[in-house]
Amino acid sequence: MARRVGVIGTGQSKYEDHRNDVNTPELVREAALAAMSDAGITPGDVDAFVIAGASGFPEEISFSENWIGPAIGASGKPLVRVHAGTNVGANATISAFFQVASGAFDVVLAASYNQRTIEDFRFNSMDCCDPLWDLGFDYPQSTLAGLQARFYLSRHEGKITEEHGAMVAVKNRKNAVLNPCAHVRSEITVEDVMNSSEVASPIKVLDCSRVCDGAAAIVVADEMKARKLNPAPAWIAGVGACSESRSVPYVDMAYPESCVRAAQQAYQMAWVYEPASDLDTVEVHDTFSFQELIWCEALGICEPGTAGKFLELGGSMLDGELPVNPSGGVISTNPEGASSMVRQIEAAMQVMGKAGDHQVPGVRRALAHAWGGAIQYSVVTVFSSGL
Amino acid sequence: MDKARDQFICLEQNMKLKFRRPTGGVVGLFLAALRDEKKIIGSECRNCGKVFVPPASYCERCSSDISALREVGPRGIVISWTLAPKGFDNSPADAPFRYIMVRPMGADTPLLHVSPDDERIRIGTVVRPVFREERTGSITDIKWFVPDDEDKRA
Amino acid sequence: MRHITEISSKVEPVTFVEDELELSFRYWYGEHYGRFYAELRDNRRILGMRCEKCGSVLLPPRPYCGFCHAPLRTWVELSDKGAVDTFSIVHTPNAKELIETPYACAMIKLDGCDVPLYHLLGEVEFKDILTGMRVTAVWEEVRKGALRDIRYFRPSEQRSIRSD
Repeated sequence: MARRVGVIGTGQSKYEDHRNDVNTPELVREAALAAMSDAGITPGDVDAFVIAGASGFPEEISFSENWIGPAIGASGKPLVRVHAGTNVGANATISAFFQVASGAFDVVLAASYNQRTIEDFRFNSMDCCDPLWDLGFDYPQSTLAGLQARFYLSRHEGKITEEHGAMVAVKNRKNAVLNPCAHVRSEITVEDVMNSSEVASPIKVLDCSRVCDGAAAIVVADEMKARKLNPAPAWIAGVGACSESRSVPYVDMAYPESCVRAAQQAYQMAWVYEPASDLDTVEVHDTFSFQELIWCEALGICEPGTAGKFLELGGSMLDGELPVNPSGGVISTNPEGASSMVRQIEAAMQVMGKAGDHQVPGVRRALAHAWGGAIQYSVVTVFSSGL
Repeated sequence: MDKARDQFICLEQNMKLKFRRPTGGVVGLFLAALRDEKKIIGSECRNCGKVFVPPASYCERCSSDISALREVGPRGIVISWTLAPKGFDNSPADAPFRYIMVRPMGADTPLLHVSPDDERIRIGTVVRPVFREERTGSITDIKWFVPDDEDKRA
Repeated sequence: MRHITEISSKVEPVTFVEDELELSFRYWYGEHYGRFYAELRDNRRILGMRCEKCGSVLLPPRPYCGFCHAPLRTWVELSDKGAVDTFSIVHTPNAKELIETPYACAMIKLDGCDVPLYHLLGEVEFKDILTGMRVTAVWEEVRKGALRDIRYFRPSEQRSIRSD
């Protein structure tokens, strides 16, 4: 029987376009110490560590855990590195979850980070493709998102419009103003988005998140330790992860099966039957505005083609029936390797009632979603206030 | 042309990447001290008493914040060594040379560096750094470590 | 603390470490990709594979079916014509400046194939591109065994038909 696991502390570093004031271990330490302090523990109380960075290239370091570990108290302790795309931070938390659920360790800290050291960061995109197939095109993530958005718009023509994408950006940027941790904290209008320059049609500059440097950390513990250290931990009620074919062509970009299946796994584990009513808030990985709508449909929160209407009626607003990205989402804060863990942190904070100005009242269950790679790898985590 | 063999063609890719990594203040001072003062700086943990080189803003041993920096060396003791018989791209010295682990006097941790392929380099040998004339703020501002008695013998 | 002040007052910290890395990669195509690219290069033929179990016709050619994971053995020749599944006009330069911006790219479903192919669109005004548009491959004269032996897809002669 797996043990119950709770989130007992979370931490985020300061986010900036470039964190040139610290080196990478110092950046991760900033978030890790914040998470340990939030949990009321010191590095000596942590049994094992998980470190996650999005890609090897931008760091020019193959064994980042060896460099970062000693800065967060991992010297002489079990330490693993998780490697994946932009959902790597969420995977790190899930790895920590399994380490505690299995009974191997009682308290595990997972940390993720992003610090761009490479001048031409666009190289990151080539990690996503099949090198034997489409490396010759070397398309960036935004191109993939443009194709995805057009595919989605075309499938639901008349129901989903470009303005719906803009409305997502407007909503999330507005929420971010209330979140002191967010990177970009200024409001925009639908006109601003629609008039911003084209990146990869139909995606425009303001439909995109702005990548920043930063780190995040999360401390999980078994039931006994969690209850002792935190009066109201956020229990990890369900986790799910699913990867489809690595090559883009197999993926239904408007309704990715990986997202559907990751959600099913997590829902089954967390006893979620009706996502729209069983969940009180969700944090989805909206690197590009349209993606929030697509994920909401694939997560079963809205029927396919209805996420636009749901948004229009205010359902996903901070005061709506099911607030989506109350923190402001990735579109407001995108420390790539850490963004997916930030979704989990925000969802956990909602459950713990510690989200401050962007707290949704009475959250009992919250979902965090993450995507990575070529839209083909999804991770879903459900947090609950009760067991 | 062998048709069957020809089917196994391969794809070649070349890339050139440029990196720019923030040092953080403490490592930045270490590099600047090498460049401007030909000094080796370590960090001292006031909690557990260990002195680390290169320095860090945190203690790798007990996780405390580091508040004290101090000069170490410049002489050091060889902890271990190995021979690099052949050169390679950007090799740190002309081959043959030796890689050494050298613990600067006053520090508790060794640095990885290089030395000439000199029979006198053994575990326990006392060495001293030879600084380059043109220094850029890099660990290679120290050209290599040589046996401390070299001058006398020469 | 005293030491920090002592040292830092004298020297200006180095803020960045810069480095350059040049990497060369060689990927071996293997049997399936190898045959595909050899046919593309030598005969301007696009080969896919048919799954005998689920009936799907797939690209890229691999030894297993991406849908049902059955082993694949049957090669089929695909048309170099197809329809645009989705497209985007890209203004972001790519990493190696392989393609001049802005350019149009698309997921193209070749006739007879069940999965779309990522490629470029050419000989067309951006504003005229539509989902469902019929396109034909334009081949490079000098081919070296890569997807870009097809220069791009251009609109087919016939009138374009919208998918809906």
